[in-house]
Amino acid sequence: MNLPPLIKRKRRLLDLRADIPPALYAGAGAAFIAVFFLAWWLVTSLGWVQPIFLPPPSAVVQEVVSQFQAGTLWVDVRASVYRISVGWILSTLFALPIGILMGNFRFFEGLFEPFIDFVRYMPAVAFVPLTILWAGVGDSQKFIILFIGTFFQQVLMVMDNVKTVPYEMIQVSYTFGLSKWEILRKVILPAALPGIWDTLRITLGWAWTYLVVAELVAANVGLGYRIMRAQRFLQTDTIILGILVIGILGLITDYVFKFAYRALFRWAERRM
Amino acid sequence: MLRAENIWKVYNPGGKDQVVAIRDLNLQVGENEFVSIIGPSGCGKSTFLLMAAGLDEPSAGKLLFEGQQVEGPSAKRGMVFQSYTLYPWLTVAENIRFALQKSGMELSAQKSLVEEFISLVGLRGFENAYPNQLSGGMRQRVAIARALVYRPQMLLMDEPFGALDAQTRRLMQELLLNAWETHRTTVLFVTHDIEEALLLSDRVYVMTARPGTIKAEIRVHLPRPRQVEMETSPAFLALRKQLLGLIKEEVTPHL
Ligand SMILES: Nc1ncnc2c1ncn2[C@@H]1O[C@H](COP(=O)(O)OP(=O)(O)OP(=O)(O)O)[C@@H](O)[C@H]1O
Ligand SMILES: [Mg+2]
Repeated sequence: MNLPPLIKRKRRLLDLRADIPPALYAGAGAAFIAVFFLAWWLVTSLGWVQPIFLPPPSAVVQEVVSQFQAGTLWVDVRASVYRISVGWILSTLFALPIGILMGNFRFFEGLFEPFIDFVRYMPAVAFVPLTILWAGVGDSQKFIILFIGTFFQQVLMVMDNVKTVPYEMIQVSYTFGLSKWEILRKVILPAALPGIWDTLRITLGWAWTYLVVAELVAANVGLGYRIMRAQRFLQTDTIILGILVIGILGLITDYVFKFAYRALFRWAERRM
Repeated sequence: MLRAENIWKVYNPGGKDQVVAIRDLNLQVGENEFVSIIGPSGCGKSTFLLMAAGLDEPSAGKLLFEGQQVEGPSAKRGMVFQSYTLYPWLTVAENIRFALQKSGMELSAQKSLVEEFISLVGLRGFENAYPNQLSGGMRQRVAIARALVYRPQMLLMDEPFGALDAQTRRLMQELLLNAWETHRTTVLFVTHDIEEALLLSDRVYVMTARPGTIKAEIRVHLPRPRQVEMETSPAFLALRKQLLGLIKEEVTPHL
């Protein structure tokens, strides 16, 4: 089609909900992180804080190198990632079917919700001493803490995801002759999936907190353990490295989920 | 084909929030007839359609479809809702084909049928679009194609054009007229719009305010095939006046 010369759409930066160029979006995020590190570098190199409280970035870089050579970084990351994967997957495996049942059948909602609400308000962290008595300080104790911390939130969120499927969509599916199980499988699940995907992403982020808390209290390997041990020797650079590594791992998993979301659920994208 | 005898619908019976939505309603729809129900908001039109579809149960009375008590939903009675009920993860073509999965047709036959209905509702070129890329009117056209494609014996339509602007509404009415003339089927159509009811229907039932029951039945003796232009004919205007009077009586006391 022959188009007239197109007027470049005016992009105003701060219009409500308006899209901005992707480069600007990504650039702003990167710049903010850069400013953060710059401030850190300034504050430490100007001597405003003592290195024992906040070491300069260079010290943390050196720490990366030495830990990398010693192999401890890799050992810790592997231990923590293994624990969080198993704990979170275990929780997800239970939360998905139970949450889906609760979202679809009032009976299961009535059956489980009071109990889940009750346990949900017990801080997972408070279970650490108890779980050490049950399972020692090994991996299985971490799995239990991760499960307690993640499962009860996940179930309720999955239930809500399922409930967002409009009832009319279910009703109209009956008029095509589908049984309720077919509707569950072919209508409710695909419709709820983007929401469930986000639930998984968000709860994985929370799971890191529970893992590190469990590792801080009792472990002999792992990122939380490394942080705890460093505190005893006032190795702030090691502590900061540990925190940064957790942040980076979280960021990576978050982005993997977000990109997968975009690839899997193009249809769910908001239309401007 | 569909026969309602002394239907009552009471929500939360005996409770503090008891609502008598429908009171002693009688109506019938014959084979290949196009019948509309018109009535004030909240008089129980949607409630009745849901019961006719088998998606809800009457509190009292008999609801017969081809002589048999309606028990649960079935592919014999299709429904088009006012709100958008397309599957957002399926394309236009996939949405329409979804309704054919119980038809036992071969995939290739399904696909050509889907194409035929996409043309019928004027959505050629949008086969692979997702619902969130369509306008409101386009979505409702997909919903209509999806409800027609599997040839249910009866089509229940609950204000399918209620959310559309006047222009689009006119186009959709023509489209539905056209689709109905080519694929004759039994239709029970709910609307607020008097012109719409007259233009489309063989008969129009007027309901009272809640608790709703049938107040009048009007036979629309306008020749077919019909066009939107008929709305200025004297016969049409006379019917319109009659209907308007009937509805006014129901609406005004509540204003
Ligand atoms: N699930 C329900 N529980 C309780 N009351 C209900 C329920 N569904 C409908 N009602 C009541 O029944 C009455 C009829 O509702 P219905 O939706 O059938 O009206 P309607 O004629 O379709 O109105 P409109 O033209 O506005 O769509 C209303 O007063 C409504 O409040
Ligand atoms: Mg209604």
